[in-house]
Formats: sequence, structure tokens, C-alpha cells
Amino acid sequence: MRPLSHLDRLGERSRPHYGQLVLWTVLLCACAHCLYFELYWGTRPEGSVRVHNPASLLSFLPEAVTLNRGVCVGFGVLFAAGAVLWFLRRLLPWSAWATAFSFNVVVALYFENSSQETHVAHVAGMFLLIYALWYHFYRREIRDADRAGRFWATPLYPRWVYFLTVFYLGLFYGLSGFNKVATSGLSWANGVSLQLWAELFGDKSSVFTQMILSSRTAAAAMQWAALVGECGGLVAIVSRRLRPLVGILLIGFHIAQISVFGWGFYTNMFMLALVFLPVREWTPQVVAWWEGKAGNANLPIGAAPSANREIGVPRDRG
Amino acid sequence: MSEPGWASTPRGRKELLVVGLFCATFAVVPLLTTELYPFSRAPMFADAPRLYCDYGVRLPDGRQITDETDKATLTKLGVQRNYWGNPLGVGVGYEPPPTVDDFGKVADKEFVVEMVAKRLEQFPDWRYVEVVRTVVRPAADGLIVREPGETWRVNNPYYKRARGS
Repeated sequence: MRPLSHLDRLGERSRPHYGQLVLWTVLLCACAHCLYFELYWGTRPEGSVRVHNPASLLSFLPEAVTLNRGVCVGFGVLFAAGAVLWFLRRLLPWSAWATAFSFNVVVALYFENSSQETHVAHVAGMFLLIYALWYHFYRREIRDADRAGRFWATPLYPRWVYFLTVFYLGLFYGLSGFNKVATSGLSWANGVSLQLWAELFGDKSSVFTQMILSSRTAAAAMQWAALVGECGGLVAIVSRRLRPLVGILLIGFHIAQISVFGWGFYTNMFMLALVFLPVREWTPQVVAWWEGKAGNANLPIGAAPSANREIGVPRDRG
Repeated sequence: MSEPGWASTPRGRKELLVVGLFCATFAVVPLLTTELYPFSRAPMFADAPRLYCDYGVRLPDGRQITDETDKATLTKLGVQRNYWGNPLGVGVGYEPPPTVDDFGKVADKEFVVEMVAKRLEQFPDWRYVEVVRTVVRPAADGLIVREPGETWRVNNPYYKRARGS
């Protein structure tokens, strides 16, 4: 047996419908984030003090660059142009790299000029990077398939792209969960802190806020669910069986959190739904149903519904 | 579609190397530093406060200044709230202005009075201000209560009486 044979499965490819669904969703979300970061660039209270700890990988650049709004606007424009070209699959892989790079630069420059951290854009930034890697390694196949008019019928989406998104999402939440335990212990989920946060930041008309403020037991139950969901992120990386359960817990956590606090973790919610729920497994079936409905007669051989069993999502274990 | 021996092909090895580097970097860097975009330990709300304080200011003419009505003036007086769930000054280029409010803790009267008195230099028209501190904490019945506020008068050492008054 070859030493790397157990990794062969990461190279298995399926048709690109699921990958494109995730890519288009993340591109849309990234557009919204980019607009927000451009508009709110440099918003901080008067009297804020410059800190010298690095905030991002760009912190080593001179302040003439990192504190210059023109640079941020320039990368915003580059992002917009790259995103349109990537969506149209033009100038590959440069459009993909320009999009991923410029989006992450815009986010980093926002942090360099802010006094308040936010984590709403990390997932979008890293998903763009992962998908740019896909387009980079498969640029020739993608271009050839496009030229032949067989993009949707050609197996172009490698399993490692999906694996990396599972890994990143699971790690993001896992680190957040275990950081809470490391900082405050298991008593973090005692309900008191959530009640205080809801009292301070919560939308008092939300039913979740009212539940939290009226019962410490309910608040503690919600905090435990959030903590189990977040720590479960690491389990979701290795367990395909538990992944949807962790996904549902985390999506529920975000629904409650958005309803109570209004923080815009919409991208995370969409990505959790697309990656942790069995959307990848369902996509070939939906495509087959759609193609069957549209009529197989005019479709290329590779696009016939029967082919989905072969080149769609294999029955995998993880 | 499965490509037999993919992991042993030069292309497969290259792709695997990138996958491995991505995983290793994102797993290790957040353990070394809390925030360094794009790396993050996502430390939001990792603290577990047991209480917090609300600070407000009452002016000689009876006007009340709170976090909701005029945060800029509270910030000039050093009694604003900077907290919003993330560690302050971490993962960002700026730290918010100094304040007496350390979320989850109760500052003592001397500290508050000293901080505000120093900053009254920016408001020479005010003879004094009254700082009102309200502690918000959990009650035994499972609810959250706001304790009656404590009020401290801070005389303005920089007060300049208006001419003719």
C-alpha cells in the first residue's frame, strides 16, 4: 500500500454545482462586508490611542500605507472588479486571487484603523482564500471546460476544498469555545453573564432577550448550548455524522444572537448551513431532479442524471 | 470522480502540501497570538462578568449626561464604557480612550473623582459635576437588578466664573 493512499480521497472530484453555490454565496456576503468596512473605515472615539501590538499581517507596513484611506478604497475597487470577473470566470486565476487578497486587505486595513474588533468577516475572508486555491489549481480544467461549454458537466470540484472549509469553520468555532473555557472556566455558562450582556446590549423587544432576562435557567441553557456548539466545531471536523447537529446548534446560536444583539454574523450562518448541513450531499440530487425536469435529451452525456451517482458526491465517511 | 494514486502524483502532492500548510498555520498561529488578522482565537465574550457599572454625569444646570444621550462628553470626562465583548486594543490599531470603567469591576470613589477632576479642565464653565454610578448585578431571584445609584460631587479646580455673574 502506498504511504499516501489514504489521502487519495481528498483528490476525488465532483461536478462544480456545490462549489459554485458556496462561492457565489460567499462573494455576495463579501460584497456586503466590503461595503460596510469601506463606509465605516476609521470610525473610533475621539481620543483613541494608537497601540503598537500588531493587529494584522499588514501591521509591518508603514503607517503611511495602513492609515491611508485611499489605499483601502483602492483595494475595495480591486475587490469589486475581481469579484465580477471571478463570478464570470474570466482572467483566472488572477481574478480569484485579486478578490481574495483585496478583500482580506480591506478587512485588515479596517482593523488597523479601528478601536473595536469584530469577527463577522473572518469566515468570508478565509473561504475566499480556499476557493481561490481551488481556482488556482484547477484553472486549466476550468478554462478548458468553459471553452467546451461543459463547465457544469465536468468533475472539477476536489474534495479537499470542501474539507478545508469544514476544517476552517470547525476550528474557528472550536477555538472560540475552548478560549471561553480557558478564560473563565465552565462557569462561563452560568447564565449571569448572558443576562448582563442582554441587559446591556440586548433588544428588549426580542423574545429571546425577554427569555434571558426573565430566567437565569433559560439563560444558562442557552449559554450551554452555545458553548457545546462552539466546542463541537472541532468534533464536526472529524465526524460527518455529528456535523449537521453541530451546524444546527451553531445556526440556532446565531439566530438567537442576531435577534438579541443584532451582530451581523450572517455570513457565518450561511456558511454553516452550506458546509455543516448536508447541502453538498443534496446538491447532486437537486441537480439531477432539475436536469431531469429540463429534459435529458439535449444534455451532454456527462450531465445526465445517471452520471451524478458517479461524479456527484460519493458516499463518504468524513 | 476518483483519480487513483492522486496523493502520490506531483500535482496531488502539491495540493496536499497547500492543504497541510493551511491547516497547520490556522491551527497553530491562534495559539501563539490572540488576534493577528486573518488569524484569530475569536475571543469575543470569553469573559464572564458578575456585574457591571453604568456611569452618568449631572451638570449644575440639572442636565443629565448618559451613555445614550452624549457619549462624547462622557468620554471627555473619562467615564464612558469602552467594553463591547472583545479584549480592548487587541487585534486593532487603536485602544479606546482611558476610562474609569473596567467592565465587571466596581471602581472606587477616589479613583473616579480624581479622573473626572483632572478632565474638567476641558469644561471651565462648569463649577462642578455630579457623577452617578449605578451597579447592575444579578439578584437571588434569577433576575438582574439595578442598585440605587451613588452620586459624588466633583468640584472643578479649573472653573472660571463668567464675567458679571
